[in-house]
Amino acid sequence: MNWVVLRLFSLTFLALIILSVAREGFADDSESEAKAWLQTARLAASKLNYRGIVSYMKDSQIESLHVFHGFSNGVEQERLLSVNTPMREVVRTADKVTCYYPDSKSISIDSKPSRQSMLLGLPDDLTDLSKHYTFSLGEIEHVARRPSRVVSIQPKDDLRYGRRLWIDVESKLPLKFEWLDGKQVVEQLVFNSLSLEKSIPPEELAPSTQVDGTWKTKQHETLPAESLIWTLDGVPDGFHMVSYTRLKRDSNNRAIDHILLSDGVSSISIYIDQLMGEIFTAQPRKIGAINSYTRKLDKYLVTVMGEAPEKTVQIIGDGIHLQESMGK
Amino acid sequence: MTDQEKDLRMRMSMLMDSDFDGRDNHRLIDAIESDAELKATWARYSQIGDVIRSSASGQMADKNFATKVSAVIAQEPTILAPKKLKALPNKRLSMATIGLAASLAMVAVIVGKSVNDHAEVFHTASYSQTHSNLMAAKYGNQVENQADSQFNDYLVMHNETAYMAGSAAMLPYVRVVGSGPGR
Repeated sequence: MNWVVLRLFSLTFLALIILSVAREGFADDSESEAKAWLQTARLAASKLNYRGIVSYMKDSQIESLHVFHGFSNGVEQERLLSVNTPMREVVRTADKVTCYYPDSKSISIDSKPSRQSMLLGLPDDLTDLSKHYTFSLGEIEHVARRPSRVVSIQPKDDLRYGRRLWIDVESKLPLKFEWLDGKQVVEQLVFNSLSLEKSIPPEELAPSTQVDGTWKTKQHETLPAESLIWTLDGVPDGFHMVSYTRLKRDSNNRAIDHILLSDGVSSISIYIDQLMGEIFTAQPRKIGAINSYTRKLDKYLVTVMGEAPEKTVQIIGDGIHLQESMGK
Repeated sequence: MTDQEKDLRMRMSMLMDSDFDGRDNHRLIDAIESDAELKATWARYSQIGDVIRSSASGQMADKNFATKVSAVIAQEPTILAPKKLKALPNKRLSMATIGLAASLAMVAVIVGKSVNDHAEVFHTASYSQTHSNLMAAKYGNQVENQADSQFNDYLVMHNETAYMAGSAAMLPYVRVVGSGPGR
């Protein structure tokens, strides 16, 4: 009798181990497969020629945008523009990204564009992201009547937002995207129409905004990381500094330090501005997936904002200090 | 009451309710500060506003307060459809609709009956708050506008650079092209 009980117990124990290993294996397979779908989607977004109309939803607002993407002789060109006022436009060529703001009659030019397509932003290497996010494949669902594979990026802690993508099974282009706060959708993008083309005419990729001498160009200078005069004590694990720039504003070139952090999936900006006057507005704000937190630090105004929960921007904001060697 | 006076009072009530667009705030506030009658009107509006909003300081001055409020209301221009100049996130009661609010005096009576014991507190609190309300209206909008402008600038810059950070998103520039941050 004892022998039978012992065998049953041993078999059950063995089965549990096999199931556990198998489940882990399946999870790894699913994660690898999900990452492979994402990499393929990024490649498709870069190499294909397409145009489409995208709806962008945040809070209670809906925007309609036109997207044009061309790939010719190994060079990508893209244009994104709003259909309605204020008719902003972003144009990316091989060597720069230009943002047009007709509402403020200003342009912003970045001469070091990322190598990736504007349609789908993803870091080059997804391997390191598994420490803080889980990647998984979902079912096939339809977007704009096209079968699409659902891919989820779920955070492993409550300091980050999740993402969900619907990738077109045929073209591998992302057709729908959601930012998730838990199960709640905080922002959403979806293609209303998409047409794949052999090529996109150059005029569709050229800026439509007319710029004259009254427009101003936003100024900024990139600073070396070693020149950072701030200590960042509250940055959650996984986030690292991507860039450190000094913005120049107003006629007196008021300097604003901008530190950009990223964990590969979410980005967070820190702005350290001069405190103008004794009165300032310190209130957490939430716009779609972006949370912000502002506080006074000696004679500075610190603002932290990014696609992360309110708790995260607050932790980062409270951990910023001026380096002791800099004095006060 | 002349049309000009009616317009002035309407603008004052809108200013108190932060519905005024701010372009002429300074001129209006200076006018209130330099005119005793306008100052008194502003103080009355403060009282009425406090009672309507049942704020902490909205305690009754005396037993005839509701009658006085009714009399003041009767003197005010009736504004059937005041133009909304600026949407506010918090839907506060509009002082501009005060002409339609005679029935609220009855609410004031009911509220007032339970707080008559603190009659003096109301005068002191309300009058001392009048000046601070004026100052808040004068400088508050400036600070708010400046903060909004700064915030929008930060947001635009963040949205431009989020793309460079390689963040996982579809159309990382979507917030740049979108119609702005709102409030």
